[in-house]
Amino acid sequence: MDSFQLTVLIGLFTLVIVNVAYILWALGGKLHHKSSSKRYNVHVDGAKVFSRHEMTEVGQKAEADLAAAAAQSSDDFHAMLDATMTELNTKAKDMITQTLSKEFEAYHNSLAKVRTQTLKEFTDIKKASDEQKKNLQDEFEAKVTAQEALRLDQFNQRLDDIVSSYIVESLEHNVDLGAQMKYIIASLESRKEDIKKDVLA
Amino acid sequence: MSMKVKIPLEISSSDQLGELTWELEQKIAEVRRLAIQNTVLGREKDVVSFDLSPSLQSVLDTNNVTCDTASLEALEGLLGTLKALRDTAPEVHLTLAAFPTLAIRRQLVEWLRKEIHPQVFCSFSVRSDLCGGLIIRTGAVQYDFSFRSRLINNKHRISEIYSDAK
Repeated sequence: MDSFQLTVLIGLFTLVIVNVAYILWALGGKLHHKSSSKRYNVHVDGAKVFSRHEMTEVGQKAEADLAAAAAQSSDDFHAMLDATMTELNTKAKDMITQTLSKEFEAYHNSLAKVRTQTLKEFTDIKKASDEQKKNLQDEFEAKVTAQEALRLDQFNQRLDDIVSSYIVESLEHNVDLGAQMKYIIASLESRKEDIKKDVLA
Repeated sequence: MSMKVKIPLEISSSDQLGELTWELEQKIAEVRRLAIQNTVLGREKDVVSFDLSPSLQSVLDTNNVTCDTASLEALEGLLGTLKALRDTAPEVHLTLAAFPTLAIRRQLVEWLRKEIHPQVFCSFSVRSDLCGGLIIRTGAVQYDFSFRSRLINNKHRISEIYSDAK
């Protein structure tokens, strides 16, 4: 219970006490007025001014007036109590609305934070997952490429061996050096300076 | 006595030169013996002619030296020069895909003596797996102009041709 609620309750009690005091005061005042009136009649007259019948009538009238005043006071109190209750309800409603609004706002904020945090975690997990996927993919591709290159090298080497073996077997006894002399001399010419340098060294 | 000599193209290797030197030594000994006989017997001309191998004959002809008692000093000078040449002349080794004929050997030696060194010697060997071309080795350095090495160095072309053929 916060200070506002406490204040409202204290105010309410104070109001109730004041109302009760007012009612008592009103009742007390009427009673006092009635007894004073009785005393006046006794004083003024000093003798028997009213008959017994009239006295009874006056008494009945006073009782009726007292009942009317009490009813009036009761009605006033009821009205005041109703107004107080209405105001109190309004205040309580406002207070509850404000409190609930604050709570809802806090709840919304908290929910938004949780949502943001969850989204961030999901994003992080997705990012890590993507990175790992990419790394694995790269690694796999590198392995495949290396394996492919290795296979290709092996194939090329085999192909070289096959082709050179085929040519060697085909030309073993049929190599015409005379026909190759142009190529041989041209090859020697292409490295002439290097050969000369090595020979002279 | 040292003199400048010309080596005929037939004499391509130092081994051949060694054999030639040995033969020339024998002939010089015979010429000297004949010269002594001529002196003792008072002959003015040689009565015998010497039987020379074609290689030695070629060397003598190339250097304008005759094999007789009158040219003994020139023969001894030639022998000294050939011996020195055998020990000092540069040598290369050629490997071919087939054994070279004399004409091919001459062609190769001619090119080497013209372009590389006038007194270079070369030896020959055969490797049939070269397919063609040659490998020339000078000391520790080797130049490979064989068909096989070209084939292997351009092996990507084989794969390309193979792919194109597919």
